[in-house]
Amino acid sequence: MTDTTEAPFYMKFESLGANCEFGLLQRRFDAEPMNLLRWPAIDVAGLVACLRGQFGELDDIANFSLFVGPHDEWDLQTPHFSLHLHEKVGTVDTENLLRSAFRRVKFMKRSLLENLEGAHKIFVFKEWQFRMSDTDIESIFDAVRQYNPDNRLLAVRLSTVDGIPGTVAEVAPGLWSGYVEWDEKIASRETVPVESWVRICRTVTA
Amino acid sequence: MIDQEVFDLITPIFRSVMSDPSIELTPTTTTGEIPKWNSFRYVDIIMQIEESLDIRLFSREIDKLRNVGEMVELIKSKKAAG
Repeated sequence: MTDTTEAPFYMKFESLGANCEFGLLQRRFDAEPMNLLRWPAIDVAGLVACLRGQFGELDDIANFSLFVGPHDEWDLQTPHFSLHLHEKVGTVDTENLLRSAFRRVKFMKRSLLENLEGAHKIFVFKEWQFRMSDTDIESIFDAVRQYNPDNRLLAVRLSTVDGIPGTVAEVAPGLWSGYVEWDEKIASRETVPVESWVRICRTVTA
Repeated sequence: MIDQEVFDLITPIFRSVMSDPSIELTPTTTTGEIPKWNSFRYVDIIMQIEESLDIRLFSREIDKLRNVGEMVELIKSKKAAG
């Protein structure tokens, strides 16, 4: 709930991964959507499996487990992604933590399915510790379009000699491919290439 | 439901989820005014509102909310619709 002028624009998008970079961009503009895949790390195969299976694996708490992540805080592990919980090890009842995290994930899954079925968002996926092939992008696009043929996908790659940061092209109706830059600070999530992302988002919605 | 009934119901939820008994909600309250706000806590708030009032709030409706006043109006419309 925010009344800043930029937030509604960035609420039009929903990150499908591969990491938290787009979520941080949204936060930069005070947009705080309750999106399931806004923060977790997930790869192409995992995302496509989740989409194809309608995230059914998230309906069973037996598929969830807790493990100790960075900074001695709990992370939640699901079959295809993990989620940082910001709860210090030793300060919480882990059984309650697991149950509440399970309920939270189920709610965010419901929200994602609503948005997929209604084609409410422009879904965003950005490569991270891997490189996406054209086939990867097509498989994600096919998977989101199984929910609604009007679904749109913005696939973002790391810039190369052929891909200039901040540029994006519609490669098929409803499918865009863009580029953002990459350096150590971006890799460690200390910073986000805001200017490139803004140009891409504005172009896609023009 | 009248506005005050909704405020009386959601204020304890906000305080409980945010672990902050000093939170006072007004129609113009936005997330930026609530310390420790994040999207995970927002999920907890929405889930508790749904359970307490036996209503369903859809993602598209939640995304459009700009302040607590709009949230109250949404809740009232849901209750009125039965």
